[in-house]
Amino acid sequence: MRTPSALLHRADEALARPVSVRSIALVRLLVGAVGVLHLVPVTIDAIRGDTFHGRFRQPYVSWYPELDPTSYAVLLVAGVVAAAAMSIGIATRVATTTATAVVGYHLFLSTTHVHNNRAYLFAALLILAMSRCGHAISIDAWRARRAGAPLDPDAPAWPIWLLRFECATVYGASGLSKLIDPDWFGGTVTWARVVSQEAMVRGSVLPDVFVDLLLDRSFHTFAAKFVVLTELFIAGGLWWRRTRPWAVAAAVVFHVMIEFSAQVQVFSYLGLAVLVIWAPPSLRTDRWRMFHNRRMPSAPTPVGAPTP
Amino acid sequence: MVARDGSRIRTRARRLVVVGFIALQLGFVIRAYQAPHQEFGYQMFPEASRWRADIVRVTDDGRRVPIREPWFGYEWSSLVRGRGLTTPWVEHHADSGLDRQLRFLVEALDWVAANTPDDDETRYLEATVEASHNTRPSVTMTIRSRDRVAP
Repeated sequence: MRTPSALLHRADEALARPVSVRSIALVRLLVGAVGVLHLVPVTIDAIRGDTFHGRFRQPYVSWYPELDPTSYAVLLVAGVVAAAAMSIGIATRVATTTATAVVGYHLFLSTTHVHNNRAYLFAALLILAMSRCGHAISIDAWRARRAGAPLDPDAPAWPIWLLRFECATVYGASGLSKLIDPDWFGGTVTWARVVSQEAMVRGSVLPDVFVDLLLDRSFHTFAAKFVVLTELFIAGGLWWRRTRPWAVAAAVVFHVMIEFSAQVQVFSYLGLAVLVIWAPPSLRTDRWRMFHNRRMPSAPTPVGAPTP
Repeated sequence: MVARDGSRIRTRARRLVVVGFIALQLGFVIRAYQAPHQEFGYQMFPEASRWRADIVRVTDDGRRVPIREPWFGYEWSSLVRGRGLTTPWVEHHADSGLDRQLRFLVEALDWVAANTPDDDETRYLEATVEASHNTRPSVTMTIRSRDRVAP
């Protein structure tokens, strides 16, 4: 029987174990690009003078600093530049921290700014900002290598575990909220959404047989359960070696379908980008077994040390 | 050996960050079942509810003037943007859920009432809301802003 101190020791070991930073570096590259996608429209609006000033907003706290329109636009431009620099890996730590701060500033300016995809983006950026994600797949790493002082390609695993936790939580929380809602699990919500857009669905390229099926109430009794259980399967399946490839595949299909059927800002791109964190940290593996790793590979483990 | 690069302080700091982050995130997920705006709760596509609202300015002399008409240089659609509130008189899907949508509407009414200083005749704003929760029969409710301070 394991004692609490032994369990704590195992957890500490898992969090601190040095692992390759390549997978989290690739996530950084992709999430940085998503950050640019998120910030560019807001920044263009701000440059044109279309800001939150003189508009309905609901700050979380009265003392939240509200920049004047010019400073706000400059801040957003800095955020775009930082997100781009973060993506390609120039001054990565500073760039990632700056991008996180700008996305966070915009997010928390008003309750009206808060959307799930933006919250997820902020959480992912925050974790990346705490990691050494610039030590690989970056201009920084390339320049350091050329200068003869390569950056350490390994780093403690805890940011990877945190990002995996956040990724699984997004699917789990969404699936759970639908599971316990009888309207959702019973199919009312999905059916009503399709019916409310019947003209658009009928005008789409979908075959009539499929359109009729989508508009059939009884179809949604099963389809909604399938959607909910898929989300829960993704949330749980990501954590086990045998189910991980299927969970990743389900998540990819899930995001592609959402992107084509709903307006979700950057959620689909972000969801796909963060899935990369479930690959082995080194990314060096048989490509068909990309997400099929038994455990997180690491720098050589001392003989007798516990493994997660 | 706990960590190759880890001192005891570093190990404790790492625990604090990881446990703190996880606890905070799980707390947000639980809180989202009660919180008006569900921050970090990740409850996506929660409802198929629909709503619309006719909003009027109720003046000191009792007139009820629709806000679709500009007043004292103000336009509702310029003052209130996004979250389905720009054209509340058009039926919308409550994409974050009906409760959250109505919360935004209440906050928007209060904000407009408090941020239209050139308007010297409106006492308060009033919205007559028709809302249908997930295909259930539509219900009508009235929402009022706070009374404006007399000019």
